[in-house]
Amino acid sequence: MRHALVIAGKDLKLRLRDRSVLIVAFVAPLALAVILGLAFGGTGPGFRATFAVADLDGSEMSRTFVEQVLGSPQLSGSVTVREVSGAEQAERLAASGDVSAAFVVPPGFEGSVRGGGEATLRVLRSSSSRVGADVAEAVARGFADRLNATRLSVITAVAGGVGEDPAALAAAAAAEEPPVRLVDAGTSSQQAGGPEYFGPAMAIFFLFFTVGFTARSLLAERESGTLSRIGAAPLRGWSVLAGKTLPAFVIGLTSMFVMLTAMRVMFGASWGDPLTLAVLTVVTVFGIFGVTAVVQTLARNQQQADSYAGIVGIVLALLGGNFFPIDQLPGAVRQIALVTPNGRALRAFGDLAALGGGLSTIWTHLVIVAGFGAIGMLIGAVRMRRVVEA
Amino acid sequence: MKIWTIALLSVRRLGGERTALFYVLLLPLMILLVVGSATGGAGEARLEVGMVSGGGPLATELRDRVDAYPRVDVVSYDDPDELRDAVRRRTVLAGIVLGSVYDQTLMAGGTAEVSLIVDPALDATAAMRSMVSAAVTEQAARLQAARFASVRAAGTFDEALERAGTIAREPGGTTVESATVGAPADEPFVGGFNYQAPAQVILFVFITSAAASGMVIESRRLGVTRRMLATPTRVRTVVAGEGMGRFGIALTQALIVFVVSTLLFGVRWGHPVGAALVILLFCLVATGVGLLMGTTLRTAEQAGAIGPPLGIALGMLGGCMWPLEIVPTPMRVFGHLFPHAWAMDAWIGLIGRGEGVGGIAVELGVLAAFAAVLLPLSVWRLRRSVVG
Repeated sequence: MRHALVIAGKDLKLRLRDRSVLIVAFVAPLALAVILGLAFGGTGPGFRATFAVADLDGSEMSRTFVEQVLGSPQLSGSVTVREVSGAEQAERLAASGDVSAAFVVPPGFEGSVRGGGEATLRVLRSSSSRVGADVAEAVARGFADRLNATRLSVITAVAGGVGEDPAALAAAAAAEEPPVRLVDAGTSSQQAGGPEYFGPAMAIFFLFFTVGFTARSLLAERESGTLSRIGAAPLRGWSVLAGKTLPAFVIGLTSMFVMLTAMRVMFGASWGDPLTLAVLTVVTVFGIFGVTAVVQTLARNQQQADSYAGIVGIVLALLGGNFFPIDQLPGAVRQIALVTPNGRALRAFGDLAALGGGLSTIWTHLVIVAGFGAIGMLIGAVRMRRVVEA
Repeated sequence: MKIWTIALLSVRRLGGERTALFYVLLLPLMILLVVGSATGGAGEARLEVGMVSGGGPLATELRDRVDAYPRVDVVSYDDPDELRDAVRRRTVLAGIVLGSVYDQTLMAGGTAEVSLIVDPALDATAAMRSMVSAAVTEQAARLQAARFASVRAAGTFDEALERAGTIAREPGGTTVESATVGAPADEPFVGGFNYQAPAQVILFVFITSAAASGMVIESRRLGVTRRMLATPTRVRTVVAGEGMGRFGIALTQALIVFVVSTLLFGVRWGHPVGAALVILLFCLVATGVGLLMGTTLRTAEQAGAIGPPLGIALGMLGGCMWPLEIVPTPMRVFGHLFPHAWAMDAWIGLIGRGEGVGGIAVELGVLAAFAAVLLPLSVWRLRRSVVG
């Protein structure tokens, strides 16, 4: 054990002396995560719209539409309403794209509705708007259907042969409650483009480069001939391997820890239960380590080891969603992401932040990522022992 | 003549490394494929809404109504908890849960609840709620009418519901008349291969130039440049050759992405002279950066470690990863401190708005200014390092 620690200490010192490790483990992931955090720090895939409304009726009913429907607290967060005096102005605003849509409540609207005649609410959709105009039309249709409910009841009853006086029917129908109620079940959702996602995403991506130097350092020792001298010392193979492995873990864990702390301090990111987060972080480093261990044992020299690890890291990062929030990509891409160790780990970080809970929330992810690590380490260790003992 | 020999040597050294093939050819292609298809044709984000539906005809009707909105897609879920998790992960923007007895409740004369799982903090929530609410109101009006009529002995509930449906479709009462005004908008130039291909040119010209600057360092450390000077070769020739070599690498990378994406994905590049100018000017900027890094950093490993993250970071800031129009204004302004954003603006002008060289004169001017500052500076440093 002591031998392993001595080797580990020496490797760690050597490693930190080369400043590129500081860049790859700390500076680069943090810088990228901060840029991503700032770029996507908004309130989600945006829907903001401005509607113009020309109330030419000025009645109680039309004011209800303008003030209580368009001005409802549910809409006021993301919809701005601009009241204009004439239909032409409303149309001009919609045509120029200054508003997503314009409503025109014609004169005599309330009179027609109350009198059971025809009334038309006009919606002018701006051709440059998409979702905004859809929403405007939905709002208008919802309002019209509510106004129509009484009338529809009366006509349906009369057409079915109910012989009561229509005025009495209308009064009875107006007193009915709608049979379907829409209730809001609010929840808080996780900002997929936010620091809870991109912090770990960038840290994990760079893990491929930081933890990959176990094999590399063995290859370096072999190239410089020091490996055979270590072999001449009374050391067991495993303590050499352990000594070579430990620094990678230390740097990888520190890198993750710094990232998580930075995201917490700068953006207030939170992943719930700290103990679970700690377990997940360790398992993540272990999993990525396993993958790079196998990849690097395929290399014959240091440079190859570096570029193999880089290639595998970039490909897995692309597929695993380290550059794009996987949950927002199409289903097939999402499935592929969950097959990669980094994608799994990332999903676990996301789930911790989004769904809360502890180990019970993410245990399947943990098992899979740890599995990648264990299998990789095993293959890597067997192959590496050959290097050490050769 | 010697300039060309020295320059060609750099480009051939790049081709000599097999793993370089991955970074220069395969990686841009892969990114193009993944990102291009993920954002394909996405002018404005589609709103995905999850739904746990009771399964009866009324529930199905409601589902179809929501799905019929042009930009809304309904995804089925079996379990309300699973749907709630999906909303929290933002896999879907909203969740609609109809109880398993939705149809039975309504047929039996009860009041059914439609619960909408949304995050109130999300901008899209208001849009989703309005659309779902309109669909619910429409169905509720018919159900209310059918119930009202059937309790007054006007046939069975089913008959009354059918009658209410027919009447609701007839003209009369309060109607909504909708019309689209204004000139049809151009297809937005924000998604798909046609944005990603030019973006990859910019991104990879820079990354490759920065990462390959390690070669300059190696040549210096191995004494290749010093030995060249020992031959009857002037300093000017060596510097020019080394500089041309950097430019050659940048241009090779640009042409690879250009040719492959044009052949495979049929990407359009807009006005040919304009496109050529954007590529050439950006390659000059990248040459300057590559030479600066090659003369400033001490080891090739440092160049390899700094190049890609730096390139990715500037690419993100400059709109090579996503269109800058979706980021907050301060980020957009900050991004324009770097050449990437100007190059992307030039592409948007060329391809998105179909402008000619005149229309992107400002962007070309800024790129030229970047080159005019970086190139002399880097050549001066290179000269010092060659002579020193």
